[in-house]
Amino acid sequence: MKFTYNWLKEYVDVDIPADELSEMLTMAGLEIETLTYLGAGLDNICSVKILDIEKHPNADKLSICKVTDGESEHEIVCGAKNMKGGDIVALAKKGANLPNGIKIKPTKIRGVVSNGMLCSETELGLADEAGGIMILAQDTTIGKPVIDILGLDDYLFEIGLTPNRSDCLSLIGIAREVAMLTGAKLKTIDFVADESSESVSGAIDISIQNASACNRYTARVLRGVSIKESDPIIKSRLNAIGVRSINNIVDITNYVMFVYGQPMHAFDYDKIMGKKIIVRNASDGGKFTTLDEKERELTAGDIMICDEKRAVALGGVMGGMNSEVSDDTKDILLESAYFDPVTIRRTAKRLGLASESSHRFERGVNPQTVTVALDYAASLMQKSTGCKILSGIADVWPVKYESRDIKARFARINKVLGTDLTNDDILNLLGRLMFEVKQKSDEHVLVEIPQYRHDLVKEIDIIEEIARTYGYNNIKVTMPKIPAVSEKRSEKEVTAAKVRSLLVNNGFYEVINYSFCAHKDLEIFSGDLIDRRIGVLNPINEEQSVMRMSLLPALIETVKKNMNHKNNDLKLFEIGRSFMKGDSGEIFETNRFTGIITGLCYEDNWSNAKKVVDFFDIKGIVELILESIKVIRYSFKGGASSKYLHPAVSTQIYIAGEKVGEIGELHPDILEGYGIDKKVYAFDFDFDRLCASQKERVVFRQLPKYPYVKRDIAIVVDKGIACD
Amino acid sequence: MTDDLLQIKQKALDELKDLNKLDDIYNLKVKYLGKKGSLTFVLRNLGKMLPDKRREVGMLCNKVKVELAAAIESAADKVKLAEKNRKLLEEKVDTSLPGRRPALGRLHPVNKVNEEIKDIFLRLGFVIQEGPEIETDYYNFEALNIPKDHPARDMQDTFYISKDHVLRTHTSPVQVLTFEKQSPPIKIIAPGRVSRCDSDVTHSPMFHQVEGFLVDTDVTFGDLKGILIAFIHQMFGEKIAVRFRPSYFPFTEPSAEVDMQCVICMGKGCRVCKKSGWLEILGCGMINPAVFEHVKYDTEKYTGFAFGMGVERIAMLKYQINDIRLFYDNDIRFLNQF
Ligand SMILES: [Zn+2]
Repeated sequence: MKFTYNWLKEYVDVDIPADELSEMLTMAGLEIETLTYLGAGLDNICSVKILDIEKHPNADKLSICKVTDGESEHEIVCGAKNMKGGDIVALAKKGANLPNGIKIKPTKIRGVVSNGMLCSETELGLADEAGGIMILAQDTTIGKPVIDILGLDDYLFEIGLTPNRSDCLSLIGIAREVAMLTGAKLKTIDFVADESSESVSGAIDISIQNASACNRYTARVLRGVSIKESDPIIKSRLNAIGVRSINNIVDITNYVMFVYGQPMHAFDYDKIMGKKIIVRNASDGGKFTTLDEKERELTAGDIMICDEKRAVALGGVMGGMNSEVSDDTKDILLESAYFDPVTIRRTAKRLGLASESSHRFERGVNPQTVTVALDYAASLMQKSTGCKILSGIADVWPVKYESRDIKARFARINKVLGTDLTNDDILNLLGRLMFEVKQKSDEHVLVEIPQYRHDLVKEIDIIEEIARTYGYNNIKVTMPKIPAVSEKRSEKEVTAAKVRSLLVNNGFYEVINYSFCAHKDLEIFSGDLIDRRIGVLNPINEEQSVMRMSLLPALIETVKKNMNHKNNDLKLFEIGRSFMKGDSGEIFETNRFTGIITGLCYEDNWSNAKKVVDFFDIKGIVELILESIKVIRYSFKGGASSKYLHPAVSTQIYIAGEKVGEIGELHPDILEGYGIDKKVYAFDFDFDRLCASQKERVVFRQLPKYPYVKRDIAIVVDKGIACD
Repeated sequence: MTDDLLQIKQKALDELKDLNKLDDIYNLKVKYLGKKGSLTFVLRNLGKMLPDKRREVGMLCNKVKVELAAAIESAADKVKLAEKNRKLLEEKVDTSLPGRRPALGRLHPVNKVNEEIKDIFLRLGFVIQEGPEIETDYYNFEALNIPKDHPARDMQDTFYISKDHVLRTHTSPVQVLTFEKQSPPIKIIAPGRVSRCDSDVTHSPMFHQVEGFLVDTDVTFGDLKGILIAFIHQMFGEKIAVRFRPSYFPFTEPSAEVDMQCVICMGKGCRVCKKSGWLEILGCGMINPAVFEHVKYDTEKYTGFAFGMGVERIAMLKYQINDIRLFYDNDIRFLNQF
């Protein structure tokens, strides 16, 4: 939500410095994400009249403009062509420091001194492109700072509004908050709408068929409008908050939406067939072309605004092409309604059509200002075009909004917050919030909730409002009285800490890879288990489209990436989860502990032997891991079952007869697929099993009395017999 | 005779002066003090002298012998020492060469910071609990007071596994999982991976969170402030200023964002804190009674608070890292800086 300070001041009598206001709002829960001074870089620029234009004697493309600011005349060299004598333009004088970084000082251009620069809208930071210098309105006073002419002595605030505060999606709402925070008085918006003798009842007939989705539908009919450019104030305010000006009618509906938070839609009245508006549910599979010229597929949950024959708008979300206001529009049907938040949200979400309008409807608009906003918009249109406003409002209101009362207990407020506010303190805070107290006792207070606060439903909501208004930073800091217990880490935490520090102290780097991976990774590393994979329905890309079943593919990828940076000696590991579906679709998350080594055994050093790692280095690490966590009865058996390991240089790790992992050289074919031409070895543990395995209880054994005796025995056996 | 003796002594000492080899010194010793040495010769001839003379010469002779022996001994020691020193110098190495050391790896910076956070909360008496990365819609949203079709769902872009399974968007579901199994008092932190479909300089599709919650009778917002200020002071320093400002999370109420004084500019205003002097560090609040209702806790009896922080965010502030994606590139040149 964006607004400018001057705009806000129309609704609340506030005059503190902008940065102070920004801080106040932030500390009240309306976080100001950016605060920008709109006149930045526009000092020393004023309006001047062009008296005379001459050709530059030494350059064809340049001219020399003689201009006056009412007091003195200046000669300015200018490259633009779009101005003529008598035009009022913006002159950046000596000392100006433009938004684009240009510093103005008298400069000789091709032999002629230029005492400043005539500016374009781009140079002033007002537009992205410009077809020459900016020509100001003919009745502009000369010698006046452009900051004032353009109303840019102002600040733009941008609030990162949390979803609960729909009441602050309007200038009026923010003004209320400012009044609460500063004690400033709210101002009322004065306007008159002159109604003509023709009654609206003969001009439009409204009916609602889906009252649960459309609680109220109101409309006015305006005759004899002219479509033109907006009033400069409306245009500049919309511009400042980043809304493109379209024409006076559309701009007014937008403007009023920002003022009251009530979205509005203007139909070309002549395109509404049969003088009828019927609000009903769409039918499944129906099609509708919204005014952005896109055809939308509908479902039964969508709200359609229809005339006698056809749909004319996707209610609360976007108008239709077929009833859009155009340059030839004479009469207007102006809609102001209350749509059900959930219904609007479903439609907007499904169609990817989040608009300022749907954003407000899905958070809940103020039911009290549905017709106020309608009247205000009609009056502004009348002011802009002199149109006739038909008397009365066409208003169908099947579901009335009920006011809500919340009981809040004084003791409960203090119990949750840890404060010792008196009943009077609390009543004062409620007063600042402009909440009506309906009833009170020594124990509690009954508060009537303003209809614009859709977020306040329960006692705890009132407690939050009290806390917010009192100021979080005024609440005393305490420590929980919960009894002290000495907590220790779980077996798994302890084991993880041990093996991680062991590996780090043996030259391994810990890596963290994503929990998701590419489908091709599963094809290589998961074998038959691939059928048990778990996919992501809405991945960002194919690389992250399925949950990983092994940590290895990403580790190999990491090896490859580092090799690309000429780091060829790598020892990496990760402890993380792998994911798999069970027989009946249940989800298993298993912790895995996987490591990988390649390149030199020892750090490349002037004295180390340049030995390259082999199978026994990875096996040594695995033995070290098992011994460091006191695993008993571990063994290595047979070749590995995994296809990604070298069939002759791999084995399986067992603890007490249960398989807990595998080690080995990665299959050369796999590595080739990654473009790695060096030998790479890996270990892969089921970490949960490793943690659960039986550990040796350490009990001291007496030292032997005698030194050991060493004997060398050589036995000749068949080549096929394993060492153990 | 006495003159002869003194002459012998002087001669021996003169000769000794020029000797710097151990062998030569021993030869000199033999020459003067040995069985056939000059001094021994004088001693042997004592008997031929008059008794008086004999005593006088005998005494002098012994004195010279002792003096010479000592001089020779000390000369020999000197030479031995020089020899030893020379040998040591021959062993000289270039100590400026780099040491031969076992390779040292590194913990991943995210896990390093994660461990630090866990340690601080363990000291504050919290227990570590984990939950699944794939969570049901119920635990990730519904039970945390984020119903379907609620605008609060927009706060977290969610990866879906199926209609009712998601990649958890926060570790907050551990709250509900715990409440279902346990009654207060409860004091838990839940570290773990979370995922959101979002990817740029400050967002990674996967990142780490530490959720914490404490439930008991009489837990207040003041207590929440107490615990979090203690945490921030331990993590970033005792002098760091902390402020709480109202915010919104569906599962806490009142909710707050916690800002700490910018650790880079110490509150003066810089690029990292966008000139505000403050850094958003975590979100928190009193657990919304609606959450307790889901797990049938007595909302009158129990109150509690919850907080959540992004580990990457804290690591980025701590080490002044400007791109979150570096954590998942796992480039050794990055990893070996921590
Ligand atoms: Zn800073």
